[in-house]
Amino acid sequence: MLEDFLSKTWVLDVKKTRILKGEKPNTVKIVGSNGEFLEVVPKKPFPISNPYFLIFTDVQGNEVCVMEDYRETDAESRKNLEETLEKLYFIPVIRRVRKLETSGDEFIWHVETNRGSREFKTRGRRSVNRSGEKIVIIDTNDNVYIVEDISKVDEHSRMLLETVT
Amino acid sequence: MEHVETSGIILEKLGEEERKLVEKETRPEETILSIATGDLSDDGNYSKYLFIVTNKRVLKLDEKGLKQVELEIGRITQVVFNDYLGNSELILVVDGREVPVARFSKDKISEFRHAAGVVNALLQYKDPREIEFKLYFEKNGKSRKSAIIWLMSYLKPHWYLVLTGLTLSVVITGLNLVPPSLLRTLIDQIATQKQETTLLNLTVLLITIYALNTLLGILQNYSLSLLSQKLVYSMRRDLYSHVQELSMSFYDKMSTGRVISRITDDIGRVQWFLVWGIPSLIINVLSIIGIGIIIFTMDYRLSLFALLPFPLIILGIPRFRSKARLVYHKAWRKWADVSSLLVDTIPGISVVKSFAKEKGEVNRFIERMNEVVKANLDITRLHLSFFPILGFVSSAGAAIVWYVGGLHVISGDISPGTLVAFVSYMWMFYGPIQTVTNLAEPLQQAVTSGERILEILRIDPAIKDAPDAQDFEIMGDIRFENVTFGYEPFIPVLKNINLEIRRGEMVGIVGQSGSGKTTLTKLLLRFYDVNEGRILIDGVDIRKIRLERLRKSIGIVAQDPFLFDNSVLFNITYGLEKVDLKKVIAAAKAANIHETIMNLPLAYDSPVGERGSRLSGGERQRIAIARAIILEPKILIMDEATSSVDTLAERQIQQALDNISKERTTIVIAHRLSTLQRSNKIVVMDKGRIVETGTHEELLRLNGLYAKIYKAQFAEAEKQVAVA
Repeated sequence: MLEDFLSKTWVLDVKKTRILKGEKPNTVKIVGSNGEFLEVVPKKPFPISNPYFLIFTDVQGNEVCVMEDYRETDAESRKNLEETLEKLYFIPVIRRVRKLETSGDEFIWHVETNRGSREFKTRGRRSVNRSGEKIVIIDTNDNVYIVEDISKVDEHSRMLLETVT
Repeated sequence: MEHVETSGIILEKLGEEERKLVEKETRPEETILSIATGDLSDDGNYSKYLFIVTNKRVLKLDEKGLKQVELEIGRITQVVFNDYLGNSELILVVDGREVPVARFSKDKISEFRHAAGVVNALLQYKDPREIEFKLYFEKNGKSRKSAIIWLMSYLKPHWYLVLTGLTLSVVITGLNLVPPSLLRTLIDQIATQKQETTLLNLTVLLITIYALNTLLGILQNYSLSLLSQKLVYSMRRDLYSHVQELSMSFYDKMSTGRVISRITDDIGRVQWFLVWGIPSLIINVLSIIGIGIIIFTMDYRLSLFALLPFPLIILGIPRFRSKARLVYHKAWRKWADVSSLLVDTIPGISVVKSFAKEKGEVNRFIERMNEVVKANLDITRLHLSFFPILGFVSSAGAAIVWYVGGLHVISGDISPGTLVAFVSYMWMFYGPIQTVTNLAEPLQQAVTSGERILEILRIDPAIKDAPDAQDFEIMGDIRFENVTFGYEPFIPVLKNINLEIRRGEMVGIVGQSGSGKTTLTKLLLRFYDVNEGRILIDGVDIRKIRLERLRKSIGIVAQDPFLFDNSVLFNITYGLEKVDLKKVIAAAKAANIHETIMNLPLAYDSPVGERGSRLSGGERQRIAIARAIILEPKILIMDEATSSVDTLAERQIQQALDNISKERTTIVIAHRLSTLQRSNKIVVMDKGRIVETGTHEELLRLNGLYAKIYKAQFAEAEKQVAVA
């Protein structure tokens, strides 16, 4: 039964697939050995745990195909994909934690990200999720931030992060 | 030989006179298998009696030793256990007649259940050795001693840390005893002889001692903390892996909250005992001995005065503690009253307002706060009634020592330095004595906690792999043969169940709640073993199938599926060792939940919240279905899968079920009969028995219980349509 659903899934062969920019915003064009798709939208079903796995849907939202690891596509395709995905999945990477204040059950974060400096608030323990070295932070307004590898940030930031994870 | 031992253990819980009575009334060739102490006479008055089961007879002795009941086991055919309000009774069926033999209050239920269990076992096995085996869980009376031995066994692997900690403690104690004697030298030599070099030497020595003390103190603290963490780590690990192994029947008897408290609180107390209690005890006892020797050799007459506050400390502190426990507990209770008022009225504020009861609530709060204030003042008063007096007596003792010692100095018996040193030592004496006296109770608690932990560790999983358990690819043919089962012995939930389900079939089970539907599936998963009869899968008794294989072959979607506080991905792949993301998506599609998941902020990486609280009931259900699908089980059990959701969600779940039930044996427990139209067979249960079996049409034609339920639901559905 699971096989039925699996066989219906078309898995793209990354080596034979090229990705171009789509004509509408947020879309890409897939050029494969089996023909051409116009206007497909890339989606990440596992944006945190497996961010390179993609599902492509048509503009109506119907699934067209999947790609298991987009990093294996050629450089240009990858660039096109990443430029599109950047807006769909805006997850700034925290490089440094300058200050961490507490007031009541709230934390006020002062951080430097790869997109510039930022202040945000989190509430409760569940807004900071750690799995291994990776930390995902969801603030009170549902913005998402990520620390990709806690062992690679500076000492001060690591100390602050360790106190909340 | 073993028989004798069993009797011995059972007899141990009795008092001296009762034991004599039992020994007088039983024959030497008899083995005592169970003794229950009853507390109600047949006409319902409180009165003590003994209910004894041996391998030959059942005996009931009143307090004077008169035999009220004596029955040979051979004449008994059945045991009946009846539960009433406030009391229960045991009935034996003798020569076809029901004979009430024992009546008792609820306190005695477990004792009599045991006795009844033994009689029942005698009826079944006839061989006392098998019963011995069943009885081996009987607690022996040596648990206190063994708890301490068990605790010590955890120290063994870390002996080097224990040794380091203890050595450091002894050295530190020794160093602490040096400064007063330096003080003596200071006064006697420097003050009279005015030697500057000696002064310098003394100062340097004193600083060195303090420095050494600080350094060793740090090392001691660290090594003991390290030891403490290692111990707690291994104890929690052992206890946790043990409770994971234990069978469901264990969790029926012990609430999960109590299990959690043993893993957290009790282990915490034991940790304290091992790591701080014992060293503290040793150090303080050493200090007492050391200081005692020093002051007695300095001047034994003065020492007698120094002992003046002793009686007060030794007698007073335990008294103080027992009183303190009461007043602290009271303060805690009063505070709990305040909190519970808050928990009640703040969330219920709309009710308070709609009844215009704000002022009343404020008054209630004030009343309770007054109680808190009173209780806290009680604590202060208790402290003030004891410690100032203790302080005064100690100081007065010191003053007397000054006077008597001063006289000795004047007469030239001792030097002024000796007197000063003596007084310093004397003050150092009281601290350790207070500490040791204070330690008694926490030590007691730690041992009790140790016993409670050990109690769990000693329980063997009731259900485990048979030595000859088989491991094979399960195909999914299921057969229940004359299965009878009860969670409590003598209260069967399932009676004589016979049911055959062939591989690939879909079978619906219908019946009112409490009719035994869910129990049926629990037996299939072998959460419990049947009392009578057997369950076969592919022709093999499930007690002979490897547990892991059995349970991995059965997928289950429960009524209210339990999701772990983690991501959707984690929950779907819970039973898997290797994760294939494509399969995860395929399973979610089959469960009709993929689209919903993709719309969550972090899609499959979204946290589901505690117990899945961020999802709706229908979503949780479909995630549970995906979790079952991905394992590709040969047998699937779905328990009331659509009972708690609306019609749209039901349709979505129904679709998911249609997807999943292809090519596998599916058992659906349903309240809504609409779920069952597609099933090959419907089994109707009532009060633990199967009363009807057949297809939907056959059962309707039969016009029995199924038809009745169906019509009731049909009418309900029509009513809803009419309302809409």
